[in-house]
Amino acid sequence: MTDPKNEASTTPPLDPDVAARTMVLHRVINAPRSAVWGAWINPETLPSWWGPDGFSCRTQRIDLRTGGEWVFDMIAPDGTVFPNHHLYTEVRPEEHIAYTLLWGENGPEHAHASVVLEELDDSTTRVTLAMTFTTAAEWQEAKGFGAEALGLQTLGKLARFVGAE
Amino acid sequence: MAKHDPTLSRLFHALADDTRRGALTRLAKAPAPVTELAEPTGLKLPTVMRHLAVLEEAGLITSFKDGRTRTCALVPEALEPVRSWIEEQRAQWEARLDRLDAFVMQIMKDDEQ
Repeated sequence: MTDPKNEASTTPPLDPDVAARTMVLHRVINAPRSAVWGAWINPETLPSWWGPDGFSCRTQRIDLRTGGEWVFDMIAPDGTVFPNHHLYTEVRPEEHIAYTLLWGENGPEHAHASVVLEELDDSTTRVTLAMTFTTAAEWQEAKGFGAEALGLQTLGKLARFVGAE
Repeated sequence: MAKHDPTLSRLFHALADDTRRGALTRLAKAPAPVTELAEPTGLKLPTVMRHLAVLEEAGLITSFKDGRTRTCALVPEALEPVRSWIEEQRAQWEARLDRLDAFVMQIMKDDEQ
């Protein structure tokens, strides 16, 4: 991808088995880190920007803290419903969010995700979203439906939400 | 036995869930359509289909589409690696208990003398 603030890469973590099923996305957002964090860890705002272009979220339960969860349906532009269940394993203010993705409430595990926010300067934040899929097959399937582009759309919606575009 | 047997790991992973074991118990009676397997779980249909995909990837079930209905069925021989692994472990554990038993009997006999 040519746009340097909007790139997809598969940075190899140490374990080659994990690397083979990990997707890493970066997005630089022209907004202070506190603003990006505030849009993310907020039950009122997260559902309003989360998901790729044209998708919407219907929340059943949301509790954004370490040990909390978000149970919601993601609705595709064609009306297809994707049940989601995120279990937050770490919420460290302004720095790090880790969560496990299930295929809907009490569904099988889909992936582990890690979000890191870095303050490049007072008004610029770099977001890194890493997703390690449960199996290499799930990663292939995700790639097949364009997970990288869809993930970057989500981070683009976040940038627009905080007024960075 | 190989130290890391991907087949066994997939099987035990597939079995390590109430919803999935429930589906296997139901399918032991007869093949069933996905909607019928979903009904008692209270889970959403796409979530149940994901659970069934885990069972299918482990080779425990197979599915086929008939018109608009997808029907699932057990693969009877699929549990064989699990059964033989457990049998192997049990044989070893029991052999060890037999040796412990013999050892204790010997000590008791020595004490009597």
